[in-house]
Amino acid sequence: MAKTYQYCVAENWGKGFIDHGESTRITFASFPGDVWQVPAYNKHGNLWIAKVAGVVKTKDQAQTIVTAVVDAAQTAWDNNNVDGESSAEKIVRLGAKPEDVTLEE
Amino acid sequence: MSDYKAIHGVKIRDYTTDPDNLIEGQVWFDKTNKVLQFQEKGAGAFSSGGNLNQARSDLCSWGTQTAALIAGGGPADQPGEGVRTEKYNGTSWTEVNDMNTGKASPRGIGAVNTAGLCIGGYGLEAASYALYALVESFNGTSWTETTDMNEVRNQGTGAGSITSGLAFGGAQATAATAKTEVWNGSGWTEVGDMNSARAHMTGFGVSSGSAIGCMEGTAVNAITELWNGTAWTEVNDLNTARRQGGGGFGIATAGLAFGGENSSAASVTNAESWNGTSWTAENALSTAVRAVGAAGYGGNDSGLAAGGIAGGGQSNATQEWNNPVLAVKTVDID
Repeated sequence: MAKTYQYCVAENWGKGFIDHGESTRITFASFPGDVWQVPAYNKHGNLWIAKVAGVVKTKDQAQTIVTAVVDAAQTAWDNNNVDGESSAEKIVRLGAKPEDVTLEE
Repeated sequence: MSDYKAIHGVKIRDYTTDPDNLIEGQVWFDKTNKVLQFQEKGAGAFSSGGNLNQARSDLCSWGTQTAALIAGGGPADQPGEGVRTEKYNGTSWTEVNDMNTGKASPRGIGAVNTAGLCIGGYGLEAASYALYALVESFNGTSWTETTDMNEVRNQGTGAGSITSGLAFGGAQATAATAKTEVWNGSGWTEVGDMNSARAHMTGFGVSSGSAIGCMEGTAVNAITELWNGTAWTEVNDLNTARRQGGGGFGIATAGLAFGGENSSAASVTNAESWNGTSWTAENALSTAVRAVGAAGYGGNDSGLAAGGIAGGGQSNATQEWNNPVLAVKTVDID
């Protein structure tokens, strides 16, 4: 089955990383670990990856990166406790525990 | 080209730069880049803005895309962090003087980054987590404590300006509140309650006379209420129900609401515009985010989303929204 998305790793440097024209032409999604998803077989997506010097990853490679960051965030959340604090209070203080992320092909 | 003239009665002119006084539908040949271009109504979209100096979420924010301010907010588990303040000039964020009191989950009221209020929130000391009615006023350089609200509001919502503001909703000791207060530049007056008590809403408006509130903190919902200066009225729902503080900006007849969290506790990218009557889906955020700061006083043509919680943690990213009335497009030949 042809893949729907392609992945790269690129650090968002701020202004100009994604410009208005790119945003209207490309459907972006970002994930933990500076992983970016753009449509596969797409000229505009390819040009954007080149512009940001993105390091192209397979879906499985990208998933490994994302999972490592999410696992670390989940562990940090689990270990961040205050004596006497209820689970509801912890969520108020830290936000909900980071969810697992599954990338699409 | 001869077909174009036969159809339209005129030839396509060529230019070395974009022609002046463009009109919608105008077509020309760009001699410099050797491409055919045209002018059409643009599509609103988010693009990257300057990164915050400190990643943070659930914060106080106000202003415009080129004159925004954020203050307070998380990391909520680190006392001393909830005082930081940053100003945005449309390109980059600069740290300025801290607030007097550290706050998690405060909210902002203001038109530009030289004048505004930071309202409510809660204390960052783990032993107490005191809920605040505190209000601090920013003058472009420093913060001064001013008149407290009548109600404590953690994750409340603010709208308006430093001379005409509105505070509504928020969490109190045991439940969300529907209480609404008007700020006249020096003090707070309680006015009509919202129809549904909610915290961590998205809200916007330019004065105490009109505002919009939607989404909420704990339950995923699409409920929208409109404030007319006297009372709240429930109006058409968002298309996509959400919770946990997506951002929003605009006026009661032209707004934008974005981000938030779905029922699976995942941040979302949805953006919807409000036209005074109903919500319409727009191009999405590139990064899903909740508990995000927002600035876009005065309308929904331009604004920004800053910080928030994205995926693995707090974000330092800024996403700028622009909705050009007209835009130059190049004919794309694959």
